[in-house]
Amino acid sequence: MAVLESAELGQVEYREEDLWSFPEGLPAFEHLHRFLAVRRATFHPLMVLCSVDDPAVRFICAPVELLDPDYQLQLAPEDCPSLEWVAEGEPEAKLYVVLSFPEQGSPTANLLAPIVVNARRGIGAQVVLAGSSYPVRYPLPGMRGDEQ
Amino acid sequence: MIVIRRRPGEKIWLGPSISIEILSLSPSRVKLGVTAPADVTVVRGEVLEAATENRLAAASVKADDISRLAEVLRGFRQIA
Repeated sequence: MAVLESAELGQVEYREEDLWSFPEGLPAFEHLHRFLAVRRATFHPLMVLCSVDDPAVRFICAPVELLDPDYQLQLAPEDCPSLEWVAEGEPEAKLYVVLSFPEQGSPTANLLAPIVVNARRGIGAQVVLAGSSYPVRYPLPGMRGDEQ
Repeated sequence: MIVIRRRPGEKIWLGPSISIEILSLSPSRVKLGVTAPADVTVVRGEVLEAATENRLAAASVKADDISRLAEVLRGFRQIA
């Protein structure tokens, strides 16, 4: 059992086999490859994707169907080679979107670059879609900026 | 912005070491060949946007904000 020290989540215990490997890291964080998906009842259905190598780096993620139940992932052939299992149509691919909390305005979700994960194999990647009209800042439903 | 018209097979140079060649053309796409030294990052525009967005997303928020947001989303989508 190892422990992740998170400023927001406190001490989180995990096993190596629970980790997800991101061979290409994430845009702006290409050097980070080992991540832990933290889920808790208090913030269900959100998930916090934490880097175990740099605990200051974590992303708050939502399952894509929460934001857009009709979301369609269309991968181009040049998308990350580490995602060949997605191209093969494996049903185990799960999609999450990363949430941002700007200083001004309500939180948004990045629908243009979903995080695609195969939990069974423990590998994932953030795929930046090409030629897509999905927005990089999709306003979250139920939050109009004038929420209390 | 500098606007240059090129045909397939023609090149543009950015400084002495970076070149962009038009390899082929189709009605909706252009294929570009970029030659640049190893210390120059060549990425699609959207990837740079995703990098900027990730930096913003990785900035810390209070733990309460995560719970409160989850509550709003649960209510909106009627999730148990």
